[in-house]
Amino acid sequence: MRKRRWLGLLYGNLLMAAALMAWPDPVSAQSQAAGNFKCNMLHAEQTVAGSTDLTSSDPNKPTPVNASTKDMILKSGLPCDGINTDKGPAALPIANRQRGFDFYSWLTFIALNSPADNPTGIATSRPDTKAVWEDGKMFKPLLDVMLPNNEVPAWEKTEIPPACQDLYAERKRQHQDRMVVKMIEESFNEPFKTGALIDQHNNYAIFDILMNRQMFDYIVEHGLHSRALQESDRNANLRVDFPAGHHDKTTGLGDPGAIMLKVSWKILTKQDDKDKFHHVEALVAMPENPDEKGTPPCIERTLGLVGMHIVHKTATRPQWIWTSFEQADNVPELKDVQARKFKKYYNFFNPACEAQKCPINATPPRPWDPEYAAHLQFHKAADGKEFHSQIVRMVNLTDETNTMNRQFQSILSDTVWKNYIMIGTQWPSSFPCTGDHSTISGVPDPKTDFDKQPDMNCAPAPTFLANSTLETFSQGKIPQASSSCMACHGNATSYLRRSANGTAEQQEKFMNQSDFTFMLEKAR
Amino acid sequence: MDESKHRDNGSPAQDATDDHHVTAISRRTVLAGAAATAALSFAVEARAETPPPLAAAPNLDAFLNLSAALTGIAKKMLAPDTDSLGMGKTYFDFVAARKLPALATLLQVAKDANLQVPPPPGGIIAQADVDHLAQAIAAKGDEAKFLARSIVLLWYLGAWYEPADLKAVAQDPKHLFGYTVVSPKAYTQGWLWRVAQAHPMGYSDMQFGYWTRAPEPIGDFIEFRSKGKGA
Repeated sequence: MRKRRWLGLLYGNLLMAAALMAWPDPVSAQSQAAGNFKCNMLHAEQTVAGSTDLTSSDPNKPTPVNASTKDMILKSGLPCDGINTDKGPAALPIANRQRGFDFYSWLTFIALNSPADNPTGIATSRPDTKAVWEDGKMFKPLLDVMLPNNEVPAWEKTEIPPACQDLYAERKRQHQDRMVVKMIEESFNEPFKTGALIDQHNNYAIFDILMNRQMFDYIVEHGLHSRALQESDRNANLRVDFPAGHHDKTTGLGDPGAIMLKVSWKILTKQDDKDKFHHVEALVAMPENPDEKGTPPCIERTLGLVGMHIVHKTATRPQWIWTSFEQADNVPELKDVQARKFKKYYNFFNPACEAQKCPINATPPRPWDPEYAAHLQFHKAADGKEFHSQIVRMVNLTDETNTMNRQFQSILSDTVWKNYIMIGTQWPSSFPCTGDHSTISGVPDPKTDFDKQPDMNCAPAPTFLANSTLETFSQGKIPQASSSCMACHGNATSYLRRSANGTAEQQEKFMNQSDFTFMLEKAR
Repeated sequence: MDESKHRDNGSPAQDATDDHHVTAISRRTVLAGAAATAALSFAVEARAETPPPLAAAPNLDAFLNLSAALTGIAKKMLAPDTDSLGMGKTYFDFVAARKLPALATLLQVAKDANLQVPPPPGGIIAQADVDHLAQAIAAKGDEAKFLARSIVLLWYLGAWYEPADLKAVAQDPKHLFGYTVVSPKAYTQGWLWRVAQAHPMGYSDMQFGYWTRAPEPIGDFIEFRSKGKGA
C-alpha cells in the first residue's frame, strides 16, 4: 500500500515536471523579429491604392469615420504602432500628426474595450460585457504582479485578498463573475498625493493600474517584481527597456509590445443610469487605514468606468504614446462654466451649486483615507454635511478632438461606448530625439534601450494633458506643476543599482530609470 | 498687458562701454551684455495680449532666420518642423505687438542677407554670415541694433527687455530697468539653460540621475540632426 502511494507520488511529480518543461520560456523582451500578431494598420488618411506599404497614405483623403466604414473600423483590432504623417488638411504639420495619433487612440480604445470573448464584436456589446482589458488572460492588475515576499507572480493566477475570499467563492458557486479590485493608497489618492475624488453621491472614485502580457513577462524575466531582485547584482546595470510595439509595413504583422492602463471607476448607485457606463460587478478590497485597527473590509459594488489611460510603447515612439478617455458626463469644461451652459447632471459637478458654496477643483477636507465602516462613502462633516467634488476641466478640448469624438461616437451609437470621449493623445514630437537608438554594443533590435539625454521626453505634444478623474487637481498649463504624462513619467525610477562588476560602458551609461513607469517602485 | 517695471539697485551692466564704442555687434558682446542685464530688476510675467494678425509666413521665416543667426542656435531647434511649443511664433507675435518700426527694418535686413541654413547635422548659420548680418544691422542705426539685442535676450531668457532700456544701459551702466517674462513656458524654454548644458530652476527635461554623469556635448543641445543616434 505504502509502495503504491510512493509510486503514485512519483508519477504525479513526473507528470508535473513534464508539464513545466512544456511551458514556454517567458517571452524575451527583445525577441521581436518574429512578430505574428495581426496589427491594425488603419490610419487617419487612406492608404495609397496599389502601394505595398500599408502605412502609405494620401494626405488629401482622410479616412472617413461614418456608417460606410463603421464595420471596418470597429473590427480592425489593436494597432501595434502609430501611423501618421505631417501632411494633410490642417495648416500646421503638427496638427496633421496629432490627428493621426488621435485616430490611433480611438482604434486602441475600441480594441481594448471590445468584448473579451469576441474581440471584433464591440458593435453588439452591452454595457456590462467584459472587455478585452478586463480579461485576466490579457491584462493583469499591478498588485497581482508586485507580490510580497519575493513571490514570483503567475500570469494565470488571480490573487484574491483574504477579506474577499469567502464572498468571491460564494459568487463563483453562483456562477457570477466578479472583478476583484485591491485598493492601496494610490487607488483613491491621486498622483503626488494631490487628493481623493468624491462623486455626487459621496462615494470615492477608485483607480486601478494594469499591464499586458508583454510588460508582465519582461518584469518577471528580469525579477523586477521584487525589490530585492531589483537591487541585486543580477540586475545591476540593467537598462529597463520594455518591449516596443512594431509592425511590418507590407504584411501588417508584428507585436503590440508593452501596454499599461490606468482606469478610474465610479461606484454606481440607484440614482445612476447604469446603462450610460460600462460597468462591472466587483469585489473591492478597501485600503488599509493607518488610523484604524483590524482588516479592511471587502465590499461588493457595481463600478462604472469613468476614466481610462492607455499607454503604449512603440518602436517609433519609445517614449510611449499616452492616450486618455473619459465618460462624457464627468465634468463641464471651463468655457461651459464661464457661459453657464450646463448639462442636467455630471458625475463630479453639481450645476446647481454656486462657486462660493462649491469652489471648483477643491480637494476634499482631510483625512482622505477611507474609513472601514463607511464602505467607500466619504466621511461627513460634524454637522452631517457631505463633501462632493466640484470638478471642472480647466483646459477645453480642442475643436479637432471634439470633431473626432463625434465621428467615433456616431459609429458606436448602438453601444455604451458612445458615452465616452477622448481627451487627447500625448506623443513625443521631436523626431531626431525620439529616433535615438541604443549605441551599446550587442543590444538587439529595435534597440529602444537608448540614452535619453539631454531630453528625456522629446518635446511632448500637446505639452499638457490631464484626465479630470485621474489628474483632477493638477490640470493646467504651468510647466512642471500641471499634468503632463511624459514630463511626470519621465522621472519615474526603480530600485536598480549600479554595480562595480559591469563593463566600463555599462558603468558609464547606467541610469536608475524605469522606462516611464512608476510600477517598478511598487515592488515589495 | 501688464509691463510694470520694478527698479532695483543691481550691479551695472558690464561690457556696455565695449558696445558703445564698436560699430559692429557680435554674439559675444550681445550675450555678455545680456548676462549683466539679466542680473537687474524684478521680472513681471506678461499677461496674455491679443496678438497681431497672423504673421505672414515670409516675415515669420525672416524672424526665425534672424533669430538663428543672432543666437547661434540651429534654426530647426528654435522652430522644428513638428513644433509642439511654437516659441518662434509666440516670440514673433510678442515682438510684433510692440509695433516697433525697427522690426520691419530688421526683417528686411534678414531677408536681404539671404542667410543660408546648413543641412544637418549641425544646421547652425556660419559665423561669417552672422558677422555680415551684424554689420548690416548696425548700419541701420541704434533702433535696429538694440531691437536685435532684445530679440536675442528673448530667446535666451524668455524675457523681454525694451530696446530703449538696452540702449540706455549701454550708455550709462547705472541705468535701471526691468524686464517682462513672456510666460511660464518661455521661462522653461530659455536657451540660456541649454547652452549651459543645464536646466532652469524647477524644471528639467533631463533623465532622473543625470547629475551623476558628465553633461552631454553642447551640440546635443543646440544643433539639429535629422535622425536619431544609433539609427
